[in-house]
Amino acid sequence: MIVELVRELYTSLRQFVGQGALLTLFAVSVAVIVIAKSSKDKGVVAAILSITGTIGIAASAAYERIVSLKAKRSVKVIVAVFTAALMLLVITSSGGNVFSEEISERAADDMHLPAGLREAMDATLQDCDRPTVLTMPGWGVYLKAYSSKFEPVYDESVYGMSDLGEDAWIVYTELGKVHPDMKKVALHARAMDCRYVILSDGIWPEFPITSFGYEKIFEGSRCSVYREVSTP
Amino acid sequence: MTGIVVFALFYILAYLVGIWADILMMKHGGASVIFRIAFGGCAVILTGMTVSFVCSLFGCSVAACLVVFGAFLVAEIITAAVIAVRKGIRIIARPGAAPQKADILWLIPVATVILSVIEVSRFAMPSVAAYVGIGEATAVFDTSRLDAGDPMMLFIGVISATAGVHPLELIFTITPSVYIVLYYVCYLALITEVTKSRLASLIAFMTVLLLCIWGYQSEYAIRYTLLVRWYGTGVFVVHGFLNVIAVLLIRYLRYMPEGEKVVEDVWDDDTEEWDMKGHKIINTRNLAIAFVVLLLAFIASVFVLNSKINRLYDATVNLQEDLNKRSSVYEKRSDEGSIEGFVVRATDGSEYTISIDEMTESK
Repeated sequence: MIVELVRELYTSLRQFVGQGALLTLFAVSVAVIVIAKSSKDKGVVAAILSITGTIGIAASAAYERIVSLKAKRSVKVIVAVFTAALMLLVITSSGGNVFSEEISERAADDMHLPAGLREAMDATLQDCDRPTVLTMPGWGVYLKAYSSKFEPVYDESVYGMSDLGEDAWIVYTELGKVHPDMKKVALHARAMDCRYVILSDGIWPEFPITSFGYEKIFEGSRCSVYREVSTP
Repeated sequence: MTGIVVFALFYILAYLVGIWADILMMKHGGASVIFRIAFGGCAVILTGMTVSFVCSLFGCSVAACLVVFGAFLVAEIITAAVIAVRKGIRIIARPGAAPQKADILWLIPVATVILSVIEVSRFAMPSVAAYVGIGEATAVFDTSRLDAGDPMMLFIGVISATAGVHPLELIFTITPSVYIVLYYVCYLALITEVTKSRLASLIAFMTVLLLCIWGYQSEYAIRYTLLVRWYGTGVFVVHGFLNVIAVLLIRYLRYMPEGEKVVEDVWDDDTEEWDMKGHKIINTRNLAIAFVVLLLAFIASVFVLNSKINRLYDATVNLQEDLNKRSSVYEKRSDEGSIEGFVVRATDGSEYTISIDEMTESK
């Protein structure tokens, strides 16, 4: 019960504080350093050029203050432990753990590409030197990072995707669904001269894209590659 | 093996180029070994970025860029060495103070840094923002030519093309040990410049390490998050370049031009005095404080439980509504347990019964 309460309190605190509290922490740390610095040592103020460094220096300033207190050792220890626990809580609440499941995931390979995408890209490049590719939302940047030969329909290097044309926006939205309309996808892919389509196995269309003028040329562990059927 | 070679080569170059740190700080107290490596490492990367960017404006090849980069590095090292010899600065720095027993605590941050470097190679961030720009390095790798783009990505492209390692592999397997370690060295240089004791430096450095591990602020701030995008220009500026500049500024502001140090102690003002003599720990005031703390904890736990119950209720209500929106099929069984038919409940609540006799079993 107590563990559950503590966990819930911590979660609520995290939700209340929100991520992005680092700058607030920085502002408080600047105040600590400015108040605690020696009146002769103006140089230390230059340390505030470093956001994270400033917070670390403020933590050490707190330690040095505790050490300089003229009190019983037991009191100093209690104050130090309390301050350390508070600092730990503040730090873990200021942002998200970059190695936690909610923020990152285990890399599938050395290149940190989605599982199965690398072999799908290799299969595509074997078939064509400079393939125009329609792929899952968010995968365009992987294609460009893997090979400059790819010409993805949408490249997420433009954050917000405001430069997308109508056809690209339609397929981008459609492929973001669990049950995309592949007829619409195939129609707009052909309008954009997309000869290749790389799809993840995470979508379940009612009818596969092979029903609408594309043939499967590669099936990997998590991805498949489709090529437009050329009419002789 | 490539990673070890790149790591060793980079830090040897950083140490040699770091002679400039000794020259710049000659009249300001001299540079520590840590700052020398921090300064030299940042200078090597900055040189690489600048040369790559300038070469990209002329559409140079990777080979040409590499020659120019190498020439600049050699010129930097030779010039620094000549100036250092003339001014009597040691090229190979004298070892610092002998290690103390308490220094064994530094194994904790060292282990944390090593673990961080290993873990960033094993974890991937499923966010577009973490991979934006790598395509520019890949273009350099594929074409062996530089086009205008992000200086850091161009530099990485040049290194990957030279080493024959794909930029994605270079970034996620080799660069962590170079870049992340360098940025932490920069932080250490800044911290040791400001703190009084080794233990205070340790506390500050551990705080920095933890802040970097819990460093994810938002999607927009990924480009400045050290353990997510250590290979980016933004991270280099925020976590490396600015720390080095801060150290230089601190020294210049502290020292007089003649070399006379102005400040003896960092913390020189009077500290508060708290005289506990004659006061007992368990007294009326402390009991009142403890009672208030317990009361706040109780109120907080009630609030937490209440919000949890409300969330569960909302989830249950939504679940029921969701079920009601779907059609459902139920089996109708006899007392003996055999299936007599099926009851289909439509979304409008009406029910239809299908007898087993009307259906054909298929296997």
